[in-house]
Amino acid sequence: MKLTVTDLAKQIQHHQILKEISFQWAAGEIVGLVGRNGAGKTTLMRCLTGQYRTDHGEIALDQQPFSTVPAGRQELIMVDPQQNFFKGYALKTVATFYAELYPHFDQKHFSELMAQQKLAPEKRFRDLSKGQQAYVAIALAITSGAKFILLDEPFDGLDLLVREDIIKLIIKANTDHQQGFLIASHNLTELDGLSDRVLFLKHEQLVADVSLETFRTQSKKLQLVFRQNQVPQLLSDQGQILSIHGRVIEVFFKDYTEEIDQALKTLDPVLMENLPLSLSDLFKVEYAYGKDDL
Amino acid sequence: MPTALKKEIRLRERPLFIISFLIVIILVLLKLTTLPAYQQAAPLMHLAKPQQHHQWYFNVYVNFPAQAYGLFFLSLFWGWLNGIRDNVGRFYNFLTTQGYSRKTIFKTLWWERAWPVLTFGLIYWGSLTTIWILSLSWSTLKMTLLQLLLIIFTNLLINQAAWIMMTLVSLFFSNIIFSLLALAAFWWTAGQTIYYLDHPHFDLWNNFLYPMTDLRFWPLFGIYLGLIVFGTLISYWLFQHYSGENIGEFFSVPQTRWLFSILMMILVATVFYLMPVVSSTFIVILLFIVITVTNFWSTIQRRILPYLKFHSKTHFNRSV
Repeated sequence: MKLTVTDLAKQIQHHQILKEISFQWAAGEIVGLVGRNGAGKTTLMRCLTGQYRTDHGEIALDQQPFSTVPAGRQELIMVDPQQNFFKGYALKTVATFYAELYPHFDQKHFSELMAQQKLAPEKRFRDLSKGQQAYVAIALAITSGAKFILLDEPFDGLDLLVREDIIKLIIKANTDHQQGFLIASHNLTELDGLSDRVLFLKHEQLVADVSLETFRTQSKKLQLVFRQNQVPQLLSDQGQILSIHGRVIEVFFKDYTEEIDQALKTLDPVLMENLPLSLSDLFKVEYAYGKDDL
Repeated sequence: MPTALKKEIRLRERPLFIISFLIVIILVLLKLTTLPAYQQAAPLMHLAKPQQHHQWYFNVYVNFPAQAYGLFFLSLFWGWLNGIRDNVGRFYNFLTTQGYSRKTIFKTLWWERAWPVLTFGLIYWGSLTTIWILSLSWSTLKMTLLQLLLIIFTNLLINQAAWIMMTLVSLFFSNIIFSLLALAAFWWTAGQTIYYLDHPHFDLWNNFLYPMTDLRFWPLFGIYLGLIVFGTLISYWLFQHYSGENIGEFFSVPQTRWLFSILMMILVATVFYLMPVVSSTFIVILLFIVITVTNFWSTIQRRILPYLKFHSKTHFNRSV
């Protein structure tokens, strides 16, 4: 099962929020969605689920556009803890709402998840803490049985234990039921451990679609020290300098080739050490240093 | 209509339905307890009179809507509250993500909201008419079954029209307070315009709502039916163009602000032209402010208020 987004665009109050958004997302794939505040992550998710009407573009499930076959939308779910209709309802009633419309909704599993967190079914959603609300929203999405789950800032403001619970839920749903996740988050550490690939939103567009596995094999972050107290031109030409502390230079190379390796070695560095790569490095290169050609 | 969608809507509207149902029962009981039996029979007795000269008019005694204000306002309230609650409360948003076409969702919503009003009307008029007929003999009434049905249908239709028009209002405006203010402004201005245009001849505005004199049933039946069709079509169009980002804004479909403004300006200009100058000047100033703010509020909020440093937090904190 594959979701295809083609040339999607959206304006809100005469501001272009999204344009020319195209990507594919397979069931069972965990995709990170990153971008600076206001980049349009939430808007993109709401457009995908149909909460917002798109101005342009097409969303299709297995080549069947939602515009002609809307039933496909049932495979997509986004439960927004902040903006929903069920704030005043008890958790058991909320479950009834979802059970009616999602044929594969697993009521038993949902009750188990609530019990694990000691959440009484009679408790109203709005009376829960922020962390509990986020947990309930994710539990609803997972137990709905939908194959494509959209999570908007699922780790935002949550304590470590709740975050760990949520991560466990995501991993279990992904491995047991092949449910795919699109996770918009500023928490890059968690996203790094979870995602198969990451979409970067910038200037209303998707500027990069990076497979983390490919990223880790093709890219490199090096710590270099040279004898001369100046930065070789090669570093800024081929890579992105992340920091300079005295003579210690941290450089990121997106495509680290044999030629670059040889060229660096010819410069005879005093120290040339591999540093672990993280999603944060990619984020910094993309957003803090203004490198557009990832 | 999909059963799941129907169940979902019923689950949502259940508390309001129970309250409304109880109100209808109270209305029936009030009607029966406040009037002695012979007076309860009076309206239908008077209904019989016009038949003698082969006309079929409303008159002060057969003024059903006027005698059923409770039910009429309940229908208005049912339409407005359900609509605004589901629009602003993001239930429509939820429904639009469920894999049904908007047409299917709208049709289901329409029916799920229409039948309770119809049922309330049938309970009200059914129980009252039965009691009246039982307390009189059919021959005393001197009317045919068709005539009786026409009266009851007209009264059922006015409530359906009231419900759909308020549903339209709740879909047209996406802000609770503004929807009421705008409706009040529109209602008053439209009423005044029609009154002044129509005044020397006929009290059309009042007759439309609660027919008092010399108005036949058939035209009213047609007007209410027309309102139901008009209200449904416009509501359907609005629902098709409904998008979540406009929740809480003045208009659910922002482009319609021009339509609203133009309509209001035409009405205001007419009232200004026809009304006594002193009272109309005040009204015109007031409505000018309403129209200006309506149309330029987002621009004012975005471009001017930030400089004055008291702009709305919610507007700028909107998650994008």
